[in-house]
Amino acid sequence: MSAALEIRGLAKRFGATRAVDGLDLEVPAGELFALLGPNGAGKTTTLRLVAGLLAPDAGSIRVAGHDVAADPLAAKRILAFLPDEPQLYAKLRPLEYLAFVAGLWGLEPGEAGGRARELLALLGLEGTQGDYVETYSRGMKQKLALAGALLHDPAVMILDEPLTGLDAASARLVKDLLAARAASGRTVILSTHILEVAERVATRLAILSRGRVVAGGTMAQLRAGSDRTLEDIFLELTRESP
Amino acid sequence: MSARAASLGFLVAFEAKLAWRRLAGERRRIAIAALLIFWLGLHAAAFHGLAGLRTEAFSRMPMAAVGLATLFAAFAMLATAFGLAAHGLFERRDLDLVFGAPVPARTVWAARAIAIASTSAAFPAYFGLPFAHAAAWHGEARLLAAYPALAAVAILSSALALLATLALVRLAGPRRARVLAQVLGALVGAVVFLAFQAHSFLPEAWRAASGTWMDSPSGKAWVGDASPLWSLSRALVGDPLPLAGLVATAAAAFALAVRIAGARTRKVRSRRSR
Repeated sequence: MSAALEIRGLAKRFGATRAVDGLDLEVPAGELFALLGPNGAGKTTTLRLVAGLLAPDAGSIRVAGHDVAADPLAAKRILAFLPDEPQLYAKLRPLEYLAFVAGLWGLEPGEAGGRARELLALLGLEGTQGDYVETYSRGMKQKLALAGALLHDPAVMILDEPLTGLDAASARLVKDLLAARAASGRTVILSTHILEVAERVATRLAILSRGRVVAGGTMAQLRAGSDRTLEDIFLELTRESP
Repeated sequence: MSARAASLGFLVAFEAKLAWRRLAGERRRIAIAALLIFWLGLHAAAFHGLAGLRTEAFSRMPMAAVGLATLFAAFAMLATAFGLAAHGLFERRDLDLVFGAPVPARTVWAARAIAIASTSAAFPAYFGLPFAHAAAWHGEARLLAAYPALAAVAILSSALALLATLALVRLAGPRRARVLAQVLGALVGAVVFLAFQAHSFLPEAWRAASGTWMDSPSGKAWVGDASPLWSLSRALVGDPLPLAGLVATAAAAFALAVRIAGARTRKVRSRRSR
């Protein structure tokens, strides 16, 4: 079985800045994978490259065996990407937004409508179905965007800072939901700057610094027999990396 | 669960829904009703105004006058399209969603180009079509060619604006391109407006000289009824050859713009964001 995500020699520059610099990464299916790194480490750029939103300067990306450059539509069919600041349509109601997302993925309207209602209920948005999205709080928008990302039941989810703007209860709900997806064999790849979240929910992690992976593996592998916290390891690696 | 990809029709219908939602609202419903009533009034005025004219009078319409009005409308549409193309490329924040979906980039850009064309055509259509309807009612059905002609000009403007905006991104970078596209749109509008006012700013002697020149054989060759300058207006009043040429040009420009925008999507976005 192919890996959920396989990245080889990925590079991306913005002018003189090397945002991603020869990055290699492999994420097995069924993992909740956390991508960590200081600001400017290349996390968001990497995720956007995986989602097919940016063109790499070099390297290859395969999602469940589909080459993102050669066959982007096949990769996107099984992917979902949630940006760090999802932009919704102010003048739509939540079910209308989800109907549009369903249409983008070519889902059958009746089935998608039922799933949309289930997701709104699961994320605590069922009481706001008559409201326009413009009346939503930041956290509610984040949850609606997450519902959109879950709608087509993607094999691989790419989430950039998915807990931003969520209150404690919502953050817990989302973490549990993502963990359950990974447990069911789906793959979840998220970036976060909250190390505690990564330490508690991720089954595997990678730490990025200056566009490269400087460490990766399970928490146990990263600790390598020591009793250091993830924060200790993170600070040590990101401080010392060239 | 997944089946077919989103079609062009689906995306265009969604754009129309968004546009309608932006208009619709508590107070805007009254505004829409007022616009509709005014439009019916325009029909009545056009019907009454054209009632005295017969086929002979229609055929003697001075092409220069119709042509200048048509060119003014066409450039106004182009100016609007520039602003909308910059907005579609840089300011609409839903591109992550649509380009993250399994929809070909060309389909997305085709829908956006149609939306730009529809918006830029709205104003000329609102004020121009009642006269075409009235003329048709009075027996000049050829003036219904205003429909395909207006659609073609709108599509052409949209395609040119999209291509120019993409070229600006390539030449000046994304941040400058956004401002430049908006400035370009405003400049086109301003220059066209001033150009059409220029005659009244000229000294009396110059105006007399220009009148004499227009009556001369060389002047007639340039601005007479047969001048190629007025091809657009001849298309508008149903002359088959200019109309076919206009529609073909618009279709070719649209196909080219969508093809180039589709091919450059990830590169443009790569230059745009980190």
